Amino acid sequence: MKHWLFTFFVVCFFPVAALSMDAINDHEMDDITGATGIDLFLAGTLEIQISGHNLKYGDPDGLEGTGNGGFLALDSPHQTPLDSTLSLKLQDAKFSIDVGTKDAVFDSPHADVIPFGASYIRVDLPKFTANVTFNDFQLQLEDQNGLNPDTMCIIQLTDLSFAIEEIYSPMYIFSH
Amino acid sequence: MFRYLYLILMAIIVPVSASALVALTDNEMSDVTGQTGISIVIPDLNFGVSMTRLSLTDGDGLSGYPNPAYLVIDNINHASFGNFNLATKIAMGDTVAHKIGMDPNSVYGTGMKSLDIDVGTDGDGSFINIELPKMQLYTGDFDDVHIRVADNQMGTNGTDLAYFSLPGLYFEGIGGNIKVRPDRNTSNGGIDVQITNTPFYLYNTELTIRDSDPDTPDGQDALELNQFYLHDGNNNPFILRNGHFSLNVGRKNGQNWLKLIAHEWEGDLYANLGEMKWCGTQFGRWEIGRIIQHENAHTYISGHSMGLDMEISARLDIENLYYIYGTGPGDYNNSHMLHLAQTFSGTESNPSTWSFSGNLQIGDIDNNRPATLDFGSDGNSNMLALNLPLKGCLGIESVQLGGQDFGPVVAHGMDIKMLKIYIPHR
Repeated sequence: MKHWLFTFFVVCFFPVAALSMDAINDHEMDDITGATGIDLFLAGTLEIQISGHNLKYGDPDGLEGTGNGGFLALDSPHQTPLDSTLSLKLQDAKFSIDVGTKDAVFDSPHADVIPFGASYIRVDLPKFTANVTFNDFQLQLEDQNGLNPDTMCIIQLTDLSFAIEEIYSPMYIFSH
Repeated sequence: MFRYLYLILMAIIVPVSASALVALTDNEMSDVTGQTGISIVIPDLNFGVSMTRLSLTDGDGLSGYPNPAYLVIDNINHASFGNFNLATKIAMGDTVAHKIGMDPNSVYGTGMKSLDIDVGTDGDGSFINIELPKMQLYTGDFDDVHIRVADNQMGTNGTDLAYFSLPGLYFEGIGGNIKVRPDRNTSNGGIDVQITNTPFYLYNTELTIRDSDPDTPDGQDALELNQFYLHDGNNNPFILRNGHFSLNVGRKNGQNWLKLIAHEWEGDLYANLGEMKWCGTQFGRWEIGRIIQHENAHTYISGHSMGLDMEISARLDIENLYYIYGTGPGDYNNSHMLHLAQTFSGTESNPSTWSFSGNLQIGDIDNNRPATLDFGSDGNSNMLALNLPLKGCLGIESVQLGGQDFGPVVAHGMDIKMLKIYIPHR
């Protein structure tokens, strides 16, 4: 019986499985998987539209903390509210995402700041254009119930667009 | 024999090692990883903002002339408004430091800095902590934009007040810290922002305000304010050592208000204007500083049907306000130790006895006399209309004209209940 128990404990504490484990470095991992990142190609056009006609920022306790709160509001001034629309358009776009660990000096000067040994996500952003169809917006301040507006002006923007035209370097994200 | 084999197999299968694992607490995990936030290396990019027209409507016009009017900023397409460049690895070849004769390496350093974001808690509660990157942002074309008052949103039937150009506006930040949290003073709502040890340059290559009359020859129709920049007195970047601001929205005296408070503003701020031209003729340059803003400056903004109501309240000291109009040793005017405040005490002729307190006020909402901004038409002319009630005092310890000291000047007890300014087209 004692032999059995002795054998049992010896086997239990002998790390047979662990003996076969051997840490591999990133380069070996690359060889195994062959994967160094992900490229996402968007052939054609992707258009995302966000519409709305009322945007409010609320402050529940007001100016001196007395409870007389209020709202800063952008609202359609028309009887039947007209939406404004943000259209984000991506055309034949390419995203690249890589995950790695810094173990050498990079050729990209933007990666200087990443500490050696730190893991990071590298993102290559696509160029894009965002167009805004901007119907009239009334800029006003309202009381805590969203009533009694004090109007400052009505704003109209015509043919507003925002575009990332050139990107000269990738973005890196890492924890510190 | 089978019993041994059975025992060996059982021993291998039983997860004895796993029973030794203990889940780590968050604190232990922090010790292990040392990670408390994220860092982002922002890419260098070129982006453009374009629009053909910006129109602001004042539906009730001017006092006594309730005709709707429209302030229209157009010709923006022609200006290809807003070709911005953002660079986090500051290119040493085209910087504000270059433009004002400083060594870029000594100002910016050669490395770069990431944008770091953390969430933390201190004695005033939780906050978002942002460590700013090095960053260069500048405009490209911004040329001949029209400012017009019109009787419709499209800007037709309008009259141009002026054309203006603003190419080559640079902002260069060299790190710094921003904390954002719920307002500490009101505790429930509102935003509190604290900016500490944040160095930056602001530089404008050229600002041209031009007559809209097509008959006036080019170069003979413009006011040019060129090479304007902020610095620390030694041409290094201005450092905002401690700027503490809050933003609240609420109701006061029967009206809704947006209130911005500058609780604290500490830094050695100097401003230079390298060149002033009037109709093509050089008119000299300006050197202003040190500009000291005292604590608890504030601005209230609201609306009155249509149009802006405001109260601006601040106390300022300006050590020197130089206007240099020639190259000779006495070719300057200077206002030395200029004070703007609410109240004055002391002997007017003896600046060493002077004492100032409180904030100079433009607009007075407690007494229902806000500063106002409207645009409208009196039937003959489209115009911008300002009313700037003013309460406070002005003191200058030494007024120097042509290099000669003309002594002190003080004006106190000012309470201007109405100061209307109309800016019509011609």
